[in-house]
Amino acid sequence: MAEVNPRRSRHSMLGTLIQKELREISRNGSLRIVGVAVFGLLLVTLGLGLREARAVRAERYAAQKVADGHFRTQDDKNPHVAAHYGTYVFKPAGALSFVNPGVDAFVGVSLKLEAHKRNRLEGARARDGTALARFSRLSVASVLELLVPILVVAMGFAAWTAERERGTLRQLKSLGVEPRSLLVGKLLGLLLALAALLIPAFALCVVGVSVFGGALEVGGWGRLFALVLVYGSYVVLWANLTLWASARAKSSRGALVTLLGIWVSVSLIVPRVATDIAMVLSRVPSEAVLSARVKASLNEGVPGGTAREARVNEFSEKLLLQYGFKGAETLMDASLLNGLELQAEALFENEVLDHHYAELGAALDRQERLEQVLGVLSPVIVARSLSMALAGTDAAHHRQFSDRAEIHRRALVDLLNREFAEKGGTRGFDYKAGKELWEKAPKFAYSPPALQWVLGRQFPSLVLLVCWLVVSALLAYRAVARLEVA
Amino acid sequence: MFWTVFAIERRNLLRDRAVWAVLLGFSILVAYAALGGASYARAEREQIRVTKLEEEARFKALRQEVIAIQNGAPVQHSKDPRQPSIVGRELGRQALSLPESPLGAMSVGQRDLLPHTVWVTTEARLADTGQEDVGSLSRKVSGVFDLAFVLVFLLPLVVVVLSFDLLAQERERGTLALVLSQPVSLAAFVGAKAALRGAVLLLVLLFAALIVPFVFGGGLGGEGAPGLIALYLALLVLYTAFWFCLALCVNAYGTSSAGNALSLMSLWLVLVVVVPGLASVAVDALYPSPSRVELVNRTREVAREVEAQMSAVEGDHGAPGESAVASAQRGARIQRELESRVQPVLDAFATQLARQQALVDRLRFLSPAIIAYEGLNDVAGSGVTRHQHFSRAVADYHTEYKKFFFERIALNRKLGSEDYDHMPRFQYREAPVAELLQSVGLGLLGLLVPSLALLLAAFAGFRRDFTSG
Amino acid sequence: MLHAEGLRKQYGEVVALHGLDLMVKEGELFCLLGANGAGKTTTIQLFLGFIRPSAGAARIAGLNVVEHPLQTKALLAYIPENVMLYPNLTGLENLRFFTTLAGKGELQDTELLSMLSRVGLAAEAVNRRVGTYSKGMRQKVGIAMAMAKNAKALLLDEPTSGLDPKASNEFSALLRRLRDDGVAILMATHDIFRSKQDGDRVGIMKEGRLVAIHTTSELSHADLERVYLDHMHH
Repeated sequence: MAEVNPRRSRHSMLGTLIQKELREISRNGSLRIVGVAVFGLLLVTLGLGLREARAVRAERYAAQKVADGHFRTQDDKNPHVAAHYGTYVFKPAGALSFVNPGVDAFVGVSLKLEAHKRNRLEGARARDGTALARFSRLSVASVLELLVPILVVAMGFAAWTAERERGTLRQLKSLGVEPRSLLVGKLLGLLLALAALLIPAFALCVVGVSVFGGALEVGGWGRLFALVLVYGSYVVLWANLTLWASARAKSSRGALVTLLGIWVSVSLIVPRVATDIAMVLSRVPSEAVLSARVKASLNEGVPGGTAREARVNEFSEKLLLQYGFKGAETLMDASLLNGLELQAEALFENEVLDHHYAELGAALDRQERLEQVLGVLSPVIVARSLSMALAGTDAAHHRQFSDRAEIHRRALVDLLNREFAEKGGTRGFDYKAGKELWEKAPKFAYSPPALQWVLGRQFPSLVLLVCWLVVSALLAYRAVARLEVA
Repeated sequence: MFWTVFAIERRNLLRDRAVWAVLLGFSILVAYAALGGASYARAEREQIRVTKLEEEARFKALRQEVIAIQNGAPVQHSKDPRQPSIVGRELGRQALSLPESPLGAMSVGQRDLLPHTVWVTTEARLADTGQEDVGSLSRKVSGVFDLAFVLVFLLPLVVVVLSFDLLAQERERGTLALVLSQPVSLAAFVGAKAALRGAVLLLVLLFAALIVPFVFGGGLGGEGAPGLIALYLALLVLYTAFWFCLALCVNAYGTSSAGNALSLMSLWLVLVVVVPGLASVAVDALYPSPSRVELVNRTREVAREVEAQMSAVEGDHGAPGESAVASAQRGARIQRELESRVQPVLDAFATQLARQQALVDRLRFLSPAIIAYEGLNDVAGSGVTRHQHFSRAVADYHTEYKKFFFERIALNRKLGSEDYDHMPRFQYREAPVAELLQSVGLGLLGLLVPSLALLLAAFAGFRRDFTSG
Repeated sequence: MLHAEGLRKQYGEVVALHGLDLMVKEGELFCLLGANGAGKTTTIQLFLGFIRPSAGAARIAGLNVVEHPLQTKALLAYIPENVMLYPNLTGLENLRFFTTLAGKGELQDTELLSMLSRVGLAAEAVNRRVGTYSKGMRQKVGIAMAMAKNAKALLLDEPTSGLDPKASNEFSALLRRLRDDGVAILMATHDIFRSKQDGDRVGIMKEGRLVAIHTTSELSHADLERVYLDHMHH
């Protein structure tokens, strides 16, 4: 007897505890049904998500080719007229949109790039659906965020109360088992049971992505890995909360009602209220207001800045210098004059747009950060925010796309105006360019931002996720340490 | 006997602090939702009002300008208020608004996605361009915290809290054995307990779903409001009854109160989250919406073809020498041609949406939550059906509007002040009430029938062998 | 008063009670002795109509309990091993509730109070919430219910297990009083000593059968114990 290594015996005790928890969970018929149902839903949502992502990818890719073709094969015309004719870019689906469709259905997908205007993305899919589509949006993310916690609760609400109600807790304590070992045993038992469900789902996800191919772009795997960590922590957090409530409650019934109450509050009520709070605390101008402001500034100049005429002239002077002219009175070709004017105008317009969009971006950033910080009220908010960001389907990614498209628009318009100025000669607006120029137009290549960019923006959520994890673990530990037998 | 059980239950329930907390919390949420819905409706109303004011002022100014020009004032050609092509394309644009329904504050539904106001000009309408966006993107994604949300999602949970242990608790406490050793049948005992909870729920409904919204929501008046409110209440009462009957049934067959709570919660998840989610997936799979992305390219192609065709037929390339009149006439023809060729694609969107909605109308019988949600949206005028009715009215008006201007463009007739008086104006007429009644009525039936079935099943369960365990 | 005729209860393959024949007269206290699972509780639940017999009939005052569930329940009172009452209500409120259910809503508070004092519940306790009561106090409220209801038959299922000797004694005295008032009493118990002391007759059950009936006045205490153990071993 004395030979037994104490370390070894402790390990095997933990193993025994885990084994017992696993047996209890796996032999519970209703838990098996719920588990299979959740697993089935994960598979269905995963399959549908992948199918959707593939369809969207193919559609946008084809559409982009057609739109590029339209631009390339347009008739001969004046380069600036071509800038008005413009082109379209289509927003590709987020890197992991099959996991979390996020805001994708609620924002536009096609963007017209043309001279003088920064358009907004059009064609939000949600508008073409029924109200039912919004009533309940099933995705891998919503199953993980909403249904898996319920499964955790169902598995663990009676973890301590049932031991007490059956009197087995007395037995365990009389054997001198430390509360910490019991807690670790129960937690690991619970998590292993969940892992038996979630790891195959994840494996199928990886297989699906590999087989259906191309669903993950560069950096996609990193995002997927980060997503797995996030959801892993999220599940552990719920397991902690469940064990905490179970240890604190007087009866299984009480534990369950408490946990379901928490679930309803943090997943149904708090996220919506938090959105409202963020909206009230940090006002963002609506699109209508923004476009009115932009319009006014385009006519009169940025508020507090130089008036339109004067500012355009300043830009003209600069451009003239660049082109080697000392003063506006120098003789020059009509096209050059027109082209330079258009370029100066474009520079002025860009300045106005930069001013207003920087303001809007700052306001939206504030609002989004506030929304993240409100994750202190609910872990669901934290998980949702991180998940959408990693899936590349949050509002920030949408804005990032729109900004990149704007850069592209400016490059395109600038090229056309410059071409007009340099090649038009004396013909002025009668000058027509052709295929060669259209072929020279830059191609729009969008690549999603790097993982670091996402993590940087999601810093508050990351911190909060860790906080939730630590606090829930401490709560569970303290509750178990104080657990009374009778 | 009935009143004895009723009275004891009342005392038991009233002494339960958790019940009070739930009722209080629910009332606060209802008040919050009513405030939210009302402020949404107010913002919408305000936007419509401002747009209308702008429009009136614009028309007044245009009419005066016409008179001034007739009296010899100078004309700015690009903004000539007598030129039908210019007025039709820009100056005389009309804002068509879908007026707020009397119960609009109850449910926002699809209203935050679909524009309440659309602009009509002589140009082809390729998308519903107009004002939307009350609220932020994340609110669109999570959904507005309105009464429809609180009532459809949370009301069942209040029912569950009040009734999940209706019988199970008596059984666990051991009081049931003593009760049943008295000359009282289980069905009568449960009936009395259920009646009390039914009464409490009715009070909750009256207070939380009627009084609170009126106090906090305000503006629930208007034409046809009493009828709509009656429908709204009928929906709520039957929806609550369904959940209550379900809880009774679970009590009849369940074993422990924790087990009942878990079963009811799972049923709630299935009926409120999973079934609607799968139903919407099925709708998408059976009738996928056409692609807006393809529409963009298609429109562009058609525009190019039409322009090429026109040029080929007319032999000019919009040459600089073209007169303003000829250019306007050509523009009008292009618009007409463009519209007639893109129209089938646009119609496909509307048809598909109508098909989706028709399928939803059938699939809703799978879950009372869908019935209640769709019903509330219909009653609040926030559903797809009403918006489609509005879209059709807009399309009809658009035809009329274009006819007015294109006729004058073709004849090269300038607009006089009398034309401004006779310009077609938009008058929105609601769809016949019978349609609403039929749709909501069927929904009510879809709530009533399963409730009765559950009630029968519950009482069959209460008649089984009773073992005190 | 209490009459079992070929009373049988079967759960699937398992027979819990094999055709029991038994008659308990008015003013008689009949004790059912037997190991756990011998069929005592099944017998009592059959008389209560909580479960339905597979064959035979349980009758109270000649009425079949299955055919006349409400009439028969009006005649009997039941005291389980643990009388469970509504913890949020006081003793008096509980008594009022159950007697009203029993159809004796006309009883005045003073009458109910006097019954509670007759069963020996302290006056200060009657207006306290039952949640604070001991088991003995709750069993007393159970007896008070039987008295208030004016029950003709009383069914008890191990009512004294877990009571301290004093409470147990008081309970026995109450039972004897009820018997003397003409109530037919059927009590399932493990307690051989009390069976001999209180019971008029003792029945010994084994594996769903009533294997022996003895009149307590004919046996000494030691005899009863020996007879009981003999039956248990064979």
